[in-house]
Amino acid sequence: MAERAWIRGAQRGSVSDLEALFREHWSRAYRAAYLVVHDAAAAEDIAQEAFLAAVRSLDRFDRRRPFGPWLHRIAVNRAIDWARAAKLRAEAEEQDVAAPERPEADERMLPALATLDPDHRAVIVLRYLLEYTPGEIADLLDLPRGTVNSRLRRGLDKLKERLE
Amino acid sequence: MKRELQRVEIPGEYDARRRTWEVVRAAYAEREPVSWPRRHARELALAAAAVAVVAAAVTPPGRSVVNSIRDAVGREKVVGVRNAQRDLVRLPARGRLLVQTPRGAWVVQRDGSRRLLGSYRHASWSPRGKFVAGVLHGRTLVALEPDGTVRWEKPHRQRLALPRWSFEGFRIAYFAGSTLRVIVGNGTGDRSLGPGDPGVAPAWKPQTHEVAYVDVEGDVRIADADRRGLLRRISQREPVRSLEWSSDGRLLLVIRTQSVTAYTPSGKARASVAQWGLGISGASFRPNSHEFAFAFRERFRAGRSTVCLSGRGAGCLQHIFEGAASFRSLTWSPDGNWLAIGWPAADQLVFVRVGRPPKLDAVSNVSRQFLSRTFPGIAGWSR
Repeated sequence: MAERAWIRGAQRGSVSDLEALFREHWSRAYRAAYLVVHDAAAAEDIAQEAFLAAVRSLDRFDRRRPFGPWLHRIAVNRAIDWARAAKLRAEAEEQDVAAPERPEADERMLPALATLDPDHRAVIVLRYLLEYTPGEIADLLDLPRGTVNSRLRRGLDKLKERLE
Repeated sequence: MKRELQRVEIPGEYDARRRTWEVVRAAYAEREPVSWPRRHARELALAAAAVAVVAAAVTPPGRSVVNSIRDAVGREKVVGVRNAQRDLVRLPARGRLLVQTPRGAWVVQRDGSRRLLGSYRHASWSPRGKFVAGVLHGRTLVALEPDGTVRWEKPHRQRLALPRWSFEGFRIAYFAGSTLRVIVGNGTGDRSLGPGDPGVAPAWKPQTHEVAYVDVEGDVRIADADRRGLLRRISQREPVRSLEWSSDGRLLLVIRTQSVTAYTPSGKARASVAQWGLGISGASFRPNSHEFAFAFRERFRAGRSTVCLSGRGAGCLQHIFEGAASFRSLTWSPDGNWLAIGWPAADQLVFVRVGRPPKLDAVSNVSRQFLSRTFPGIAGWSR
């Protein structure tokens, strides 16, 4: 309910309501983008771009719709695009990179996630960080629900393998 | 799992949040809170502008109105449609766009979200938009789903180009070197159809397995892909740039550098546009119609181009859009109401509703949105 009031206030010009929306949603959008792209600067750009798109579309935004899924849809889809493009760049450039240092036990999640495809990372992040149901993820990513379930299963199996 | 994901430390998170808030607040400050009539003023203004564009086809005074609202030409840069959206946030009609950049093929959903499928070239939609065919690294033919999942791939020794699906998706015609080949839609039964021009995409006649292509002499051939027999040869005096069938398969549009002709399958010219300006930069049949849009560079107004609707005879039946430099990638929405026009000099994608009521919508910064240094091409608008 508060979110609708913030959107209405922001549409009428209230900076404090916009800030409330920003406070509520930025961290999760930024973290979701980071966990897909594994690049802090890119995640910042992606989350920023999603919020700028929200500001530009504010007047047309339907207040009956929840703001979070709309924002996350933009952020996660752009993160997937960025991660795919980065992968292509890496393939094209084939740069030599130094071997990473062995991570601490509590720092294993990020490298383990990095071994997954961007599409698998995205469904894991949407399911377990942003807590969408598989049906909602299917809507957000425009995928069949079965594909979401299989990506979740495969992604979790691979993560488990890496973390054990 | 949630705890683990939340515990991942992101370097510089606090600063990123501060920087982003500053940018968002600045963007917000630039906008004004608006009342309903002002909130919809842009749509109303665009509708009025589009009405004027259409009116210009009919009356000289209308043309002067168009001149007053048309895009401005800077000394060094084409400004394009004013008040264009900065982001592609939604398509004006149902369906999805397939966009080709040097980096690869992208799918744009109705809500404007974009997905890079991978480094595929020569991408094209299957007839119902369920699959995309493309060429990977020049020598592998790939069929994939619109989310990027590969269904099958077929490596080849020769350089591959321009895969195109038949009407029901059971065949794909493509070039391997300068040989036109046909493969079954599931990746089996690959065979040669004969030599051709690998610079012009083959075009399947709807409801048949007949394919039109340009042969090595530059003439248009229509062949039965299953029987591997030549059905018709239509001689050409001018280099052909592309081929396209009308939705009912009764007309074949042959697009050349200086002219466009719609032929019946028996090779008889039914409609033609020739000697229009300094050359034709593109043409496309309107779905479920024998009308076609064509773009040409103006002869008497240096540096300008125009998009017209033609059909039922010859010439420009309706003036659709005009602007500086040239247009490309004319692509109709599946319902035939909207025409997408690529405008590289302005880095804009312009959507014009050709039906009633007329409407104009434009998106700027198109190259940046597709992470490309060059202007992307529209490879199709699927159902």
